[in-house]
Amino acid sequence: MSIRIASLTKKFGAFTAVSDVSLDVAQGRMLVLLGPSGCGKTTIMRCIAGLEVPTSGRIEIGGKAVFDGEARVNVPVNQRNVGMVFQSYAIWPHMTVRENVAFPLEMKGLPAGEIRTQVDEVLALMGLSELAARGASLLSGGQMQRVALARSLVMRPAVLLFDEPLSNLDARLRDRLRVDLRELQSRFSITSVFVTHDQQEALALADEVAVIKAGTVLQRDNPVDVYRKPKSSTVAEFIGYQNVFPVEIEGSDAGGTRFRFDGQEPFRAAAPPPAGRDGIFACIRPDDIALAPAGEAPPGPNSLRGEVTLASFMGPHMHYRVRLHGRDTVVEVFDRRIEGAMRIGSEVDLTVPPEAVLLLPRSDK
Amino acid sequence: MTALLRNAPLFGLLAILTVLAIVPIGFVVYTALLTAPPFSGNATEWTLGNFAILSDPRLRAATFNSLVVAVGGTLAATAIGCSLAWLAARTDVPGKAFIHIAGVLPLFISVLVAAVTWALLGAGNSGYLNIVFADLGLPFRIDMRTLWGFIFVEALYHVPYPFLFTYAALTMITADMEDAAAVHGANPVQATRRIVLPLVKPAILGSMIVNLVLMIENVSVPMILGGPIGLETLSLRIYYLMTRMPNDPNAASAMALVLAAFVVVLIYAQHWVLRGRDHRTVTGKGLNQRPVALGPWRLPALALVALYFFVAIVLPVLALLLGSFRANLFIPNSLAFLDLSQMSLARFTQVVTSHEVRSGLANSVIVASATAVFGAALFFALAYVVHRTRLPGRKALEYVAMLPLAIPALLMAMGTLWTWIGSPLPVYGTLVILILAFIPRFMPQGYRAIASSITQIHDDLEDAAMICGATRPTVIRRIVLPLVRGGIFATIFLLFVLGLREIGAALFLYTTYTRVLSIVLLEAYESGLWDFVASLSLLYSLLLGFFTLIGRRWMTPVV
Repeated sequence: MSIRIASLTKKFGAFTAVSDVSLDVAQGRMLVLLGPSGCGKTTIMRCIAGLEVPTSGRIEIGGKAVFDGEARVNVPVNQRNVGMVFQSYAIWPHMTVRENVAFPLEMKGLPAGEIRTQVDEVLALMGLSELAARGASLLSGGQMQRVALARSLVMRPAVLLFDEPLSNLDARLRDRLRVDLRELQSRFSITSVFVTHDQQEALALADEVAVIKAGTVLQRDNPVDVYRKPKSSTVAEFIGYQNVFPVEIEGSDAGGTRFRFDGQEPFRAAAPPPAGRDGIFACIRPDDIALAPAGEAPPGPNSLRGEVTLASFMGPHMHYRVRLHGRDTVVEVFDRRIEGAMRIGSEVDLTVPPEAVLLLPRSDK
Repeated sequence: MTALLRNAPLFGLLAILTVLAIVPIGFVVYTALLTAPPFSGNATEWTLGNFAILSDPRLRAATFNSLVVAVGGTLAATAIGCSLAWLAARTDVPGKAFIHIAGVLPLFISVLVAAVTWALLGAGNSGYLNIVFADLGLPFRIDMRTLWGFIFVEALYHVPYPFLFTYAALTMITADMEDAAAVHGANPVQATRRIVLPLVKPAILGSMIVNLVLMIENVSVPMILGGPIGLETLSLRIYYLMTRMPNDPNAASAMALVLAAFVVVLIYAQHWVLRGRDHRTVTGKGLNQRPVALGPWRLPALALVALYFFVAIVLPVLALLLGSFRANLFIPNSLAFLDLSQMSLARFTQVVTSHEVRSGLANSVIVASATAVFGAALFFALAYVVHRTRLPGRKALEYVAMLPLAIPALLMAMGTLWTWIGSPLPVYGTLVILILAFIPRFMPQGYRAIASSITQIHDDLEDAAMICGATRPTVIRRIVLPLVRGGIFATIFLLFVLGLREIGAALFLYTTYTRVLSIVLLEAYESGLWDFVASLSLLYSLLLGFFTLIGRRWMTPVV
């Protein structure tokens, strides 16, 4: 079923957690709400579930209003048929795995035989059959996660909500469960909303990503566009553009846009100039910057010299921090050459391809 | 669902709390401002004259005595309790289980029994200990009928609060915190002074406030030890003004308000001392604690604990055994203690099977059980509404639930009397009025105990059940109650033992047929029936000790 959120606002006293948010999720798609902690993404999800009562706005599930501030509609949480996987898993410790999973069906008043069949089915699907009789407090984190998912799937929910369900797991388990989750969600084609602060998780899971900050949606797009075409420097920063500098636009020509930063000689971006001239930021990914020992290649356009202040081996690449000569700026660079890596104190030349420079305003709001 | 229906639990609870706590307090304030007690049939008018009693020199002396006893007793109890807690929690002293019992057991010995027993042991030259001292040729005697005696008894039996509070705080400090201090250059003494002490300070201060309040409002110690020689405290003055002819309930009310004012000042002082501190700094499970090695001091430390246990528990029990089983109460010298030919079970059997004791025991058990069960149900409802709903006004509920902490038991008893004596419900003269006084009396402890188990359940567990389609009552029945079952049993048990022990809240509320055990004991003492008092005290202590020992495991975390 689809979800439609219109002008959702939620205030806690004087604090506005969610401010006039409108979003929709088509049947069977997964929307990821991405944002830093405290940005209001969890509140949006809890409003969909019915765990928070919005201050105003409208929420529809499957075309039917479950909340409408004006019409004073508020379907109680236990009648919304929404599944939710909590960050804490929320597995009831005094029940067995089977009792946990059977609970939603008991609440629906299904006959015992029916419950048994459906629970067995879901437990088998999640690979939990062997653990059915085990007390829930004796499970590992990964197992609890699967029980929580089984408990939500068994109720055949109209929509499925995920509240940072992977954040309490160790890195390897997280990678595996992320893939499993995506597979299950698309196989059953359940409309889902997933909340996370991890950009990699967001891009990997989403059909659509909504980047949230301070209770508002900054950008909503498919993951590839969010990654490649952030609409503001705020979104760019969140999605991995680690170099964000304030710049002054000089002008433009056939080659693109000329701009300055730190008041030094002009720089080039391939893109045409942005609408406004003030409050513009250059955003560059650390892996788009080329790095070479100083003087190795003749200085070209968009070239900068500086000194390495940090060199850190990351596996696939080296992470350098370079302090530019004559400027206040420090640049983050990922370089794939591991052999002959630079040392701290080395002089280096950096080259920034004009195509790699995005010129963006801070944000719409 | 209309707003009225949704808020029904809130209104219901507010109504109950109003009847149990606010109306009684209101009646005491009202009475303090009148010329005649409520429902006395006498014409009455407003006056401030009742406060004139404050200039009475006897009252001033009594107030001074109250302060000396409460401060002295609290300091001594804190010193003993914190030492026991430190030994049990942080050192390699042998016999930790024993230290724990020594620290907790006195909590459930009625202070009334303790006072009676120490009167037997150390009042005048016929006190058992003084007989022993005389026979040993020792030059000194002890006298319990002095302020020193008051302080001694109060201190001895109020050790459990500092012990339990400090013990809990000490076990919550992880070894990491001390390790971090060591890594950053502190020696063990500096680490204790700079890290451990500040972390347990709120617990120590909290227990001191509890003890000050309990000692200020205590009636049994001054009545038993000081009554016969006219050595009085503020609480005893109030009791006499209520019960002795010519009585003056209006002046008693005025004085009870003064007493309450002391307590309120103390509680504010505590908040002021702890202002701006985050009490939650002490969290965690206290894993990997490394005990402090006492070295050659291990056995002397244990010996000191044993000495405390001997003085606080063993000596009184021996005295009670002697008092109960010796046929002839006259004891000429120490050898007479061992004279088995004088020993007889006859008197003890006669006392404990007497009609008065049996009916007192039955009344006590009924009142304590009802208080425990109904109290736990009410406190659960309160704690659930306060911590798990967003009903407006839930904070007010919590405030009222904690209010009796600042209200002396005497005052509550007076207020409860006037609340029900004029009510059309035939409650006065039945056991019900005792239950109605006991429940608010133990509300702060009971509420806090249940609230702490409810807050330990993660909100998500309830939200998950709601999402799965459960209604609020189903969530409470299927998720919350099973998870807090342990906490609720512990609270019921605690309330039961406190109810068995209580005397202050029963003082003005009993009648001939509704005397509880503590009242039977008090009346027997006032009639001078020494052998009866000893036998009954022994029975009473055995009863409380029995329940304390079987419930110790569950009750310690919540007291």
